[in-house]
Amino acid sequence: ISSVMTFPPRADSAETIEKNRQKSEDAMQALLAMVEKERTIPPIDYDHNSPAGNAVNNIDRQKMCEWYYEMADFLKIDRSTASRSMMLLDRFMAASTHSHVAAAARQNRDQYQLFALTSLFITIKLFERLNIQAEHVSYLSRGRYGPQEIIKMEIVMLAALQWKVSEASKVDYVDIIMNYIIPRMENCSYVMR
Amino acid sequence: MPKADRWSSDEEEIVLLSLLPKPISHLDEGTYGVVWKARDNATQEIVAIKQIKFDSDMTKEGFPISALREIGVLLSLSHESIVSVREMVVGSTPDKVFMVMDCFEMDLQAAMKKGPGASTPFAQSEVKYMMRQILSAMAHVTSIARKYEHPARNMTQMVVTLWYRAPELLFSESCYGPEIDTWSIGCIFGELLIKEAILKGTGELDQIQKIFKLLGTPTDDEYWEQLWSKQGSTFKWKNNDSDLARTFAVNSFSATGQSYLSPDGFDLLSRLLSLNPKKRITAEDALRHSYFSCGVTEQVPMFYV
Repeated sequence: ISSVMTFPPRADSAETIEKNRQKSEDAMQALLAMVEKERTIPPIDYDHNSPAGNAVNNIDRQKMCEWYYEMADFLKIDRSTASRSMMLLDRFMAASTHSHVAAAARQNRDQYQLFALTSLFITIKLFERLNIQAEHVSYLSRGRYGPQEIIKMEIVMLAALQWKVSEASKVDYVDIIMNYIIPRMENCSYVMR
Repeated sequence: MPKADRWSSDEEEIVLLSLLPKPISHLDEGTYGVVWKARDNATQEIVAIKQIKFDSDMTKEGFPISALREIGVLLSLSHESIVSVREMVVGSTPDKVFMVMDCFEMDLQAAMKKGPGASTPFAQSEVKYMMRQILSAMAHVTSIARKYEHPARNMTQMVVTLWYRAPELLFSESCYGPEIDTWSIGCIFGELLIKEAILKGTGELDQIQKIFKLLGTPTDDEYWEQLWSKQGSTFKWKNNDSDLARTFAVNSFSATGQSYLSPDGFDLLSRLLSLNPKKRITAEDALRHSYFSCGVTEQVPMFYV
């Protein structure tokens, strides 16, 4: 974020301007590809559910989210991994229309927490170099869920998510939008001079 | 869109679907598992089904990391020149996981060696067509896979098949990015021109020697001086000049066994095979190179049809 806060240096030549224009254009192409891909994924229902009739609600989601960030700091991994874990959990809950396990997790806080652990397990394996094992994740739950339970749920969760586990996250969107904006800002400052 | 549960009931059905009871040899038994050729009963289309290999300790790390990453990346990509995963199928037990993918009769290597017109070099228009496909696919991967980039993190150097491995990786550079892929594309460009891998090292040291023989030893190069001094290397490499221009003849119709190469084409080749990764051309810039905007128009290679 700090690099974003400082105003970019001025473009100083026609060549830099052309380079910036291309960089910005490449970022826009990538952004359009991401949006196109996003259309193929079921949207997230951030409330998870209406308060009535579901045991798991928005307060549970908030607690889970806080826990993810605590774990990211505790494990000394990137906080974007916490964000990705939350995204997978949200997407999984949104899959309850076609996945009975996800539907069941809405009614059962214990199940919800188990899937939350499983989501963290999956994202760490995908995005971190940490050599994580199910046993370690079980430890993070203070032994409440066993390693075999987590491994069993991993396949269930992956199937419900249709294995779409590396899709763009909010962080990726911010990143690509900044890559579009910053070269343009540089060029604007050149024109203003 | 076929329903996944059509295949998910048990593995027997997959075997019944298969046209050939044995894995297809040229699709070979890859690192991650066996590839089968099958018919999709819903659409009658021929597909490739890849069974994920589970040799790691499932009871500890769960679903294998390498397969998980491969599936995730492939599913997040969407490009006309990249093979698409149609769906994932989980069999009767969790260790039976299949990827249903588009099926291709042969890969590029097989097309070069065995496809129609294998005995003659590709036409320059065909080479250009393939190069654009490869580069535009790589540009897509680079833009989508940026989330896997962790700068300043030490990464393993044991990546990429030896013949296509960038020189900095052979010198244990642990902080690298998409430049290692454009090097590999440079190797493929050369290979398309002569239908033969251009740097066939027998080991890591031999690979380095072959690279320096073809492209010259890096001299007065800031990047290499830094890398070598960081490693405390005192080894002196025999000074070589670049052999690239002699190996790949420009504007020559008489060069035997080589596709015609324009000066623009040679320029692109040398930029892809830049020893200094910081100066190596990116896939996006390569697509803007005059090689693609000038000269002959692209043509679909003969083996495509």
